[in-house]
Amino acid sequence: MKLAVGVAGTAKNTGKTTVLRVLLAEAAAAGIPVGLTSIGYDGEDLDHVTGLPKPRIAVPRGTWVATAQTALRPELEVAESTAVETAVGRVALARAVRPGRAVLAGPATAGGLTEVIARLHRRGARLVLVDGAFGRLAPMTAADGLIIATGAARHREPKLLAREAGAIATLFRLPRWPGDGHPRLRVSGPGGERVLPYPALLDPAWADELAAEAAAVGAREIHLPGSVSREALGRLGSQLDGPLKLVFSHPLHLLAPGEPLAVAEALAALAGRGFELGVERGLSLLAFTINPRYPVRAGGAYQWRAGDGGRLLAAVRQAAGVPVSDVVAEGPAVVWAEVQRLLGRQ
Amino acid sequence: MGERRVLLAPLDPVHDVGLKMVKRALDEAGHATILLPPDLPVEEIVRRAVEHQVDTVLVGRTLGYNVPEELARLVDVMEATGLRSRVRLGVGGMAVRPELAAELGFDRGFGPGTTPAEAVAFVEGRDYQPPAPGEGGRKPDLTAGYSYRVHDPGIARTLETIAAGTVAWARERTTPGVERARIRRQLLAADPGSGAELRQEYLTHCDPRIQAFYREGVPAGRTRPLRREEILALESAAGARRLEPLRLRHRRSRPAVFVQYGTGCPLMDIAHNRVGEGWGADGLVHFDPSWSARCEGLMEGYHTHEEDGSLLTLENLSAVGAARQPWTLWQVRAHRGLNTPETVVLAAAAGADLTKVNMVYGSLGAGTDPGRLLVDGVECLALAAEFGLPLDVVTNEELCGVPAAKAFAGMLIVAAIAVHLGARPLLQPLFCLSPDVMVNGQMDDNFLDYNAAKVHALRAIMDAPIWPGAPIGFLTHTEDRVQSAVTTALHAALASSLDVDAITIASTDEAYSGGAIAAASRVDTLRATAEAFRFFGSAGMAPTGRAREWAGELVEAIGRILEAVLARGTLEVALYQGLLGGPGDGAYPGRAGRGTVSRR
Repeated sequence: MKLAVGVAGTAKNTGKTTVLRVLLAEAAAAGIPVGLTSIGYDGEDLDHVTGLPKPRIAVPRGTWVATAQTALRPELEVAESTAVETAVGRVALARAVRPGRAVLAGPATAGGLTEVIARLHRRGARLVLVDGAFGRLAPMTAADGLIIATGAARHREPKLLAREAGAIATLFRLPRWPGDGHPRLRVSGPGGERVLPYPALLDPAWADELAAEAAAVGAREIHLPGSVSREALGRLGSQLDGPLKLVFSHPLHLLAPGEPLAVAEALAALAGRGFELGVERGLSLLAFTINPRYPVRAGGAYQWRAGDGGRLLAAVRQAAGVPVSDVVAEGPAVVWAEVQRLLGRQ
Repeated sequence: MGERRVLLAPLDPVHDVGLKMVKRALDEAGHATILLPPDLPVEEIVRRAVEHQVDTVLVGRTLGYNVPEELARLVDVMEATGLRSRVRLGVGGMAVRPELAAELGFDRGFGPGTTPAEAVAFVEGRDYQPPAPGEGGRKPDLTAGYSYRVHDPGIARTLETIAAGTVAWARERTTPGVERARIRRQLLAADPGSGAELRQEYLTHCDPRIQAFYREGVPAGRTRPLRREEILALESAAGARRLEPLRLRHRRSRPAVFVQYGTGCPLMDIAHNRVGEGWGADGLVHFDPSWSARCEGLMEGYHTHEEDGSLLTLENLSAVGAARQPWTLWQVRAHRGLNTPETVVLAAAAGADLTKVNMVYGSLGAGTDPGRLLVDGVECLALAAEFGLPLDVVTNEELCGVPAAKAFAGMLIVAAIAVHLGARPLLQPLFCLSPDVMVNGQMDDNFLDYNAAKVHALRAIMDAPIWPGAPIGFLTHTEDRVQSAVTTALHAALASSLDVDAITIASTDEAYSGGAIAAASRVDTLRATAEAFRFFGSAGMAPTGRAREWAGELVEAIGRILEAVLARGTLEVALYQGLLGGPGDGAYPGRAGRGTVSRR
């Protein structure tokens, strides 16, 4: 009945805030109580990374907002403070006493986001919308669903954009094998279970140790929590033989190094050699949204240009395997339907 | 506080000096630090954080192409690796702002001006307490430690004789200004709603336009009362959060730096004062409108206008005063015009820390009748003594053309009267390119010698605090903002080098704006002054031998002038006859309030 949906962007200016505004408006029209937070900082007039003007986040009356106390605006009335800290101060829960605008500075970590979502749900928000942050996805593991905004600002070439979207979607389709969430590299097989002291596969040397342990126990299953570096994963794969289960912790952890194409290719190579791949946990990838506009620097200032929206949409639709929409050109129906479907399923 | 393990990761391929400074501070605080080589890949930094089991990772990086992406990737890999629940993350660099740090997922951002102590506090998980402005967050007493002893016995006798005689002369007289101050005190003490008779009595001592305000509600001087929402905004400004100001001084504890305000609107005043305080100003000086100084009587309530200076009412003053930082010194001037005693009463009631009185300047350079201002000024000084308000004795008559020796003789007389009445004066010589100096060439070579000579001369005469003003560098400023900021900063450095107690500085708009003063122009001179203080530190400027020679000449001339004033019988006569500045010096006895002095 209650859920949290994250809205992330593959790059700046892919339309994340626009999608958030659309979802806020749809939820208000449908009478669904909404909570709003961010894993970064959003809603300011100018982007803190690029300096470009940003769309403002309009909040309908009654919206619950979790943001840093220093970012509170007059239309937000504080109901409770939390112990969740951000770089601009402690997060508070506030309610819009009149329609207004929000500046969001929310929890930067999955742990913080989990707590904030729970508090917003307790306050009556049925749908919590989580605004993403520049270059980060991992805290969104606390959400139930994810919408990814992408577009010409990420790649202007439709084929490349589509390949990347397809690679990202592949990771969300990995089968889920719920496990115990053990936070260390671990192998198990007829020879027993061995646990290494490493929380992720970040170093080729750790991959060597893991491969040696796998060989020692005749491993049938290898648990790879946390992030994996492409280099270390390749090193591990080169020393293993199938059939073998590789259990990752979460699709978003696989995306943390920021190279979705490379990660997907590495996983495909492993699958091609007979390895079974899965994740302990996951979340629903609800949709991609496409923004065909992109900024270019001209004469010392940024200007917006428009890519071929039709080609971008068609290409990504073909590759993604989930709904894809341009919410500005097509309206919110496609994306909102996915959120409603998830709400109903919950 | 247990030992913390801290990983210091310079992402920048070249610049890692910031992290090295932080490392030194952390090492000295007893923490274990691991400083990585620059430019390691994100995965390797996270691997080292795992291996060393650190509590904190501090990243240093000058922002540039693709750097935000790298920083965000580091944070995301830390999160995905499960470290974020127990490892705190900080980022520092010239382009880092708290908002950027929040967007990138760091727990803290350390931007320009951050000290290693702030990073240590972050590592130790405690709030950073910046060194409080003022004296440990309290207001400094600028007059503390001064005896007001006059070193030369002859000058001491002369000053005391003039002071005692002037006080006795003034005490036999009264003026509408003195009467209004008495009634205002009674009104302030009266129960709300009462005092109708007192107000009627007050109005008998006022100009018709002030009478019209009280009787018919017609605001004087193109003012208007503040609207309700503006008054609410004023009240909320008083509760606004405490600032963490930039540090203005480097190593020295003096001089306190004052800025001037008086936009006409108390709300705008508060905004301007916040800028000044935020950029490290220690004190604020209230400017009232010049037309009000020539008008008998003051209005009541919250009022604004678009003229020069902000109206003196208890409400206006209280609102502006309440919005200042707890350590900020606040001066309300009562040095000229027809409302000076009442101004001191209001200043004290509103909680001001200082006032400003100089009957000599006020009557020779600011348009008030000498006799009138002497009576009012003595009352001001007595009130300042009673309320415990130190006051500066400003010598702006130098700007008219009065030579420093005459201006200083007048200042020392007023200071002696203040001391005689139990008040605590601060001597305010001008650091300026005065008309007298332009004509006689004392600054043809440099601005150091003669300004230093002034301070040396005053110190040779009286053990009193010195507060060059107002503002320093008067008549050296131009409309060029860079030039204006530089000349202010250099005069501030000279003041610091001379170890004076306070200075007043102008914004870069002040000399030539002819109108509104932009907040940025306040920042110009405060930043420039901070830079000059940083540049010189505890080192000093070196005036030439001329400074001491001129100081000696000034002391001798001041002695002669004081003797002449004494010989003239009363200070009033000396003022009218130009002994402390006459028509030949560009000084003319003022006319406002002439004929309003009466015998008690």
